[in-house]
Amino acid sequence: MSRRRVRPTDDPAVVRWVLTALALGVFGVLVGLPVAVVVAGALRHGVEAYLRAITDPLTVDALQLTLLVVAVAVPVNIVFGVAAAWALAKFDFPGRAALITLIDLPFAVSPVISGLVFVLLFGGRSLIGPWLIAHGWHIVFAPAGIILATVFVTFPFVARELLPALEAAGRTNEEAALVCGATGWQTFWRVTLPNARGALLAGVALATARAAGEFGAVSVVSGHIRGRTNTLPLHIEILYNEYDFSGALAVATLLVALALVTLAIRWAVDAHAARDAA
Amino acid sequence: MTALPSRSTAPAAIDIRNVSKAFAHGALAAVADVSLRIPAGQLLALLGPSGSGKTTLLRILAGLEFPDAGVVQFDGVDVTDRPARLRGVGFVFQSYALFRHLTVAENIAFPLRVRHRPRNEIRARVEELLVLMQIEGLGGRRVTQVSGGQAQRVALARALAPHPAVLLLDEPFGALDTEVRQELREWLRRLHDELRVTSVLVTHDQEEALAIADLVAVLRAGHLERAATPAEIMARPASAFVERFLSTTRAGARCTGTGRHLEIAHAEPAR
Repeated sequence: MSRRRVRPTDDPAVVRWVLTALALGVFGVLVGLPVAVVVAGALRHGVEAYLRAITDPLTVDALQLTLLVVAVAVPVNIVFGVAAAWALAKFDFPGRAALITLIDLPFAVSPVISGLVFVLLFGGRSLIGPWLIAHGWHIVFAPAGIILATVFVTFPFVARELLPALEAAGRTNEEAALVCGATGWQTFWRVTLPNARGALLAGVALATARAAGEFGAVSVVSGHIRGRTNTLPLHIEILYNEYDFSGALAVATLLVALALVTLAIRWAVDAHAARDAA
Repeated sequence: MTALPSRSTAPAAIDIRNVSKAFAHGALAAVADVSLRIPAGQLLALLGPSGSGKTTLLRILAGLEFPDAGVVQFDGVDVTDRPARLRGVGFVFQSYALFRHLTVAENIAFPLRVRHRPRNEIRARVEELLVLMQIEGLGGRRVTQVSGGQAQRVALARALAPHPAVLLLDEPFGALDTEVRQELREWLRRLHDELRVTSVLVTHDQEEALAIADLVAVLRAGHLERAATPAEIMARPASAFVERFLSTTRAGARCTGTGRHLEIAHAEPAR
């Protein structure tokens, strides 16, 4: 190194190296290694066995149900989350503090209990369960219950990511839009939401990942009916309990792939935004 | 839905009658029984120390705050309860409040876009304003990539885009350094001479108010102390507060009252 580079910080090289190595090390042990084990394990019996495992009809059913759950739960939580964060950030109303605490409730409660709540609410022995079932509304041990439980568990992500962004943005930009002649609706779509785009995206990515991967709450309401109420995580557990380790890991790669697609979409949108800003 | 005025025919005269506004459930009087008339096409400076209620009064004119009592009229029409988006005013915020996710041109086009004006009309108006504001060539830039002085011109262009009958400016030069400030002040005065849109400018800088405005209204703790032309105010401050408030300028400045505007030249600062 012949050229001296001027750096904004004067931390010694050792500190930078140690911290970087530590971060990479933790990442490697906690993220990289497990993913490597999943992929290696899935391919242990060869590509053919892997393909057979992920094209198994029960696996395909589980994948379809998981995608359905994500496709319903995430949009629902985008709408609820945006509405809640917007109301909390822009208005001062009685019960505001209580509502902020309530949004966090799904995080505070064990997912198993979140699932159990729906069984107690809509199950065959609950107050309204028999009536619902008599009218053909199957919620517990049916996809509807899985979706409900997933919506509940993933509710905080969008609202929690958005709230600080909306609060930080303040009200001036919206006032500017109003004076410019924009309606409340136009202000929301053209100013409020674009300003919080990054936070919204982060929340959606987290909610998607959790919706696809949720185990506890879903496990309680699902009833584990193969081909009908089995999501990918539940299917993985069943395969694992049947000592089909490579099968379980093969299905796990589908979840990893789902997570990677979510991340890739987020990167692409971020990069797009960065290119716009440049 | 009420139609938005997209093209005002003429600048409006502003009538403020016995306007009062209190915050914190009546505990804090921000504006107390202010009456003021601003003839069409004039530039009024609302002058006062911080907390004197000048920004609140400006926001009441914009429809961003609503008075507890009193009436606001534009050209004799009561607009007291009319919300901001239907007032047909242009507002330049102290922090500019530009839309960061939009370009300079898109910011200026915003008031026309939300009124669903035809595309070619919007393009023509944006071009016209870019030239008027002397920021041609910046249209495609992000607003985060222009200087403070340029951002201020973008904010002004956005406010003027829909041909407002009234232009409101909240400490428009507050965030700029002295040099840019002086230059922009001169330029805004010339621009106002050209456009003749009724304008209200909030400032705590007495020199700025006296240099730029046709009329100066001095506020103190929500009360209107004095409203007159700069020349009259300098000649007869009419109250101890106004006298004291203006004294910093009077001490350091030499006034040459030529025509409508006072020319205020600072004595060489002693170093």
